[in-house]
This record gives sequence, C-alpha cells and structure tokens, in this order.
Amino acid sequence: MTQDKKGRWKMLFLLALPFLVFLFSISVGRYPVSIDSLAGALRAQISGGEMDTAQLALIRVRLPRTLLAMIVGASLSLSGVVYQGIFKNPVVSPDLLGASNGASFGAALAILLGSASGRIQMFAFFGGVTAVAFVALMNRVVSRRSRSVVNLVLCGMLVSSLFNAFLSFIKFVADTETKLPSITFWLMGSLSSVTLKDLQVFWLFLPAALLLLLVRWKVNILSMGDEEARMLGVNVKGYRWLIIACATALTSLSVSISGNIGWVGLVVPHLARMFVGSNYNRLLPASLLIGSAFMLLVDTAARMLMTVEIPLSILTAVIGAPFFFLLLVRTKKGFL
Amino acid sequence: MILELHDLVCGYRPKKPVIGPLSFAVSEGEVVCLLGPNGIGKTTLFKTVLGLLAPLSGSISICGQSSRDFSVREFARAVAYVPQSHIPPFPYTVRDIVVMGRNPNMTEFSSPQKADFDKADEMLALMGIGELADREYTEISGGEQQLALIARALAQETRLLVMDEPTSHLDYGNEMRMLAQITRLSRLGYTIIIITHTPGHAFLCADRVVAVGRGGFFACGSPDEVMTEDNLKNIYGVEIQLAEVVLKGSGRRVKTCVPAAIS
Repeated sequence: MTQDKKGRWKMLFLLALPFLVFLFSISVGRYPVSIDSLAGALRAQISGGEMDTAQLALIRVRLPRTLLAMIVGASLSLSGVVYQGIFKNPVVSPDLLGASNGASFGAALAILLGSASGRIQMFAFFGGVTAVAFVALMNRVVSRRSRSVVNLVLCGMLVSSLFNAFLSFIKFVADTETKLPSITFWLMGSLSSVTLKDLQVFWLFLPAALLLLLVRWKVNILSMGDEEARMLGVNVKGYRWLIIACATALTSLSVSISGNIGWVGLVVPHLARMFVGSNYNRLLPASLLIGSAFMLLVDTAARMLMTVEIPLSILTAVIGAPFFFLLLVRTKKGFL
Repeated sequence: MILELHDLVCGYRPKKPVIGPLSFAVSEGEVVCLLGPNGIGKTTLFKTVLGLLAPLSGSISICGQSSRDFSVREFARAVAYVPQSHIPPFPYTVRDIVVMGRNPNMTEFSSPQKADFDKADEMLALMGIGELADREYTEISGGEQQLALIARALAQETRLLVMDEPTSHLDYGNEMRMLAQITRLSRLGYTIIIITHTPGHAFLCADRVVAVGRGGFFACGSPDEVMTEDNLKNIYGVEIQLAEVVLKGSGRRVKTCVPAAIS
C-alpha cells in the first residue's frame, strides 16, 4: 500500500524532528556551542573529568532545560490528544478536569509558604492530582442517577473554577513586594530556573507516556461513544480512568516543572492530525514528537528573542491563537 | 436457541418498569423484526438485551448461557451491534472504523495487525464497498456509512447481529438495497434482529416478527401470523389495510401495508 509507505516516511521525519530541534537548541544561546563540545562535555560528565565553564553551563543549565522543555511539550500534547479522544471533542485541552488549575494553586500555596523549588514542584504536582481526584469523587456521586461523560466535564469545570478562586485568594493575601511577583511569574510559565535534578520527572513521564502509547488504539474506539465502545468489547470505565490518571500525572508534572503553559495541549494534537490523520495509532506518537519539538522551539525563542526571558505562556498564546484561527479557516466542514 | 428472553422486564427504575414481562426465543439463522410504536420501550428492551441496562427481572440467555455470565469482551464476541450511523468526532478512514470490530479478538494493549486489516477489507468487500476503505468515513454517504457499520459488526465474527433501524436515514433505493443485504446475510447463516419503524419491512425480509404495543400488547410469530390488520391497528393506532401484490417476473406474492385513511 502506497499510503502506508507515505505514512512511514512521515513517521520517520517526525521521529527525527525532536533530535534536529534538540541539536539546534543546544547549540544556540548566550554561549554558542558546537556539537563537538557537547560531546566532550558529556564525556567529561560521565567519566567525571574536568570541565571548563562553558561546558559546565552546557551540562548544568542548557541540557536539562532542553530536555525538560521536550518532556513538558510531550506531556501536554499527550494529555491534550487523549482528552480530545475520550471526551469526543476536538477543542478539549489538558486542563479540562482541573489538573492545571489544581497544580497552579499548589505551586502558589508553596510559594506563599516560602518553600524552596523542590517543595513548590511537589505541591504543584499533588495540587493537580488532588483536583482531578475531587472531580472523580464528585462524578461518582453525580453518576448514581445518570451516567454520562458530560457529568465528568461539568465536575471538571466546577473544580477548576474552585481552585482558580483559591489561587486568586492566595494572590490576594500574598506579599505584593516579594511573593506576588514570583507567583505571577511562575504562573506565566518558564523553564529558566530548572536544574539537572529536575530531570527526575522523567521517571514519572516515562510510565505514563508508555501506558498511553500502549492503549492508544483503543482511544479510537472510545471516541465513538460509550455504548458503542462497550458493544465493541471495550471496558470503557477502566480505560477512561487509566487514561485520565496518566493524563493527570503528565499535566501535573509539566505544570510543576514549567508553570502553567496554555495552548500546547490544544494546538499540537491538531498539528499532528494534519500530518498523520485521525487514527490514534499514529496520532499519539506524532503528538508526542511534535509536542516535544514545538515546546523546545518555543523555549529556545523565549531565551533568545529578547535580553530578558519571555514567559512561555505568552509565546504559546501568540503562536497558538493565530494557528487555531488558520485551522478554523482551513477546515472544510465545521469541526465541532 | 441463539437468544432467549425469559419473563424479561426492562426499565431504568425497579418501581417503574418500561416494558415486559416478555418471553421469546430466536433460533439460529432467523431474521427477526421488532415492531412497536414510539415510546413503547423498544430502545429500553434493546439496551437490556445488549447488556447496556440490567434487567429489572427475568433473564436473557445467549447460546444457552445466561448473559449475566458474559464479560464485556465475551459479549462482543457473541453479539455484534450495528448502531444508527452517526458522525464520529474525528475523520477516521472507513477501514479504521471497520477494523474496530476486531477489538473483541485482540488483547488489552494491542493494535490491529495485518490479519485484522485483511478481515476488515474482506468484510468491506462483502458489503460491496471495498473501494471505500481509504476514504474518510465522514465523507461517504449515509447509506455507505450504514454498510460500513455492518461490515464492522461482521468483522466481530459473531453469529448474531443486532441492528438499530438500519434504514432510518436512507433514501428509498438504499433502503431496499439494505433489506437485500440483510436477506443475503441471513442466507450466509447470520441471525439478525432488526428494530424497524416500517412494518412493510417485516414482509420483505423477516422470518419472524416480535410486536409490542400499548396496554401490554405482545405478539410473536411469522409475519403472516402477527401482521394482521387488527394487530397493526393495535400497535400503531391507525387503520392499516394489507394488500397482496404479485411481482412481475417471479410471480412471487408479497404482502404490503397500506394506510387506510389519511384525512
């Protein structure tokens, strides 16, 4: 089949994309570095040899930042694309069930309490998980009478707005000289202060992403509706909660690393759909790859465009909103 | 008996049964039409038989085994459901839709393999729409979508097909083609249960008719037994006359329903 062959080439290209962007991103910046010197620095890091300042900066600052940008981009895109599938709606994004707002609240609370960065991340992560756990509990109560995925979405809206209110309250009481600016800056999203240690989140990212990859084909069936999926032999509830758990972990971990970054989880899945079509078998890996490359490019722009760092959510919105408009113009038949 | 209902009562709340008690059995290879007016609980009955709704009382058995003992996956290997065609949120290809029917025969974490795609293509060809495999499902006509959904049900490789108004969105030509396909599938050995709102379909393709009406009316039997003028009035509340037409060429006699008074 020729179509299959074309698809394979596309996948190969997408597979190469994050690597190319990685090589580009790692070599540009205030200290331009060549690929050779990266290899040298890596060798020194592994063998414990001597490193010069540029190499130290490369390993301790730029490398973790590049890798984390890719993890964050992949996480947000993966959660976005699976949420669009299981909620049968192409305009859903990862914050649907309140994970982002919960995580933002957690981080703001930790900043208010004067915590160090590790503690802030912890609070952010568990804030996101707690918000979605609340949604799950509320959904259980509501679903005694009627079983519908709309209930879940409505519970998500409730919890989201509740955590948003808590967040506003924290901002309201925070010290306007010290705490409030750092909360605000943190919420706008940035990777400027990540360290090598933060790469630990990879061990959370890996199992969640792998699980989603394993069940990706079933998302096709889940998007046909609950009853139809069940008649096709799919344990709808089981898969839905497994997917929500993975997506929540991914969203929370990305907010805990980089703050709240909008648009990526909404736009990247559509970009991926334009490349490889709607079938989740290809769409999910494509979203992962495009998402990681996209976020890395955005972060590279964030540190290169001006002398000060531009917050990431400003850039993603400036790129995302026009892209979405183009998508609306291009779509043949309304896509809602 | 491939399907047996025993004093089945269906509904959403125990104190408010919607339909039943009903008992009837479907034997292998039959085409059964389920007739009834709007709001009588056909859909509730359907959902109960499909295991989407727990019976309030009574039992359902499939191939001699209580349907309560089936897991979701086992059920999908015994019964295939053909829903009314609807637009999926994403433009999957027709082959992607049909290969979903292979799911009950796959493991939890797997994706379809070449054999599954081959089976999907085979069933598309069987339904006469093999050339649509790579088209987007959202772009083909309503009749073709319905055929694709039947192909998906066939890909499940069950002996029992349950169809929810398979002709509801079709023009007259496609409606007749659909009935011909149903007859053909029945000759291939499939057992088929159809909900329909057109009583005439029963004369055209059914071996047996199950009819429910208001006031606990229930009848089950061959089309000639059940589809009498009295029964039809009972079911639909309007005067209907039966006419017999001798087909040109074959000379076969076919009954048809004619509304007696539209005024």
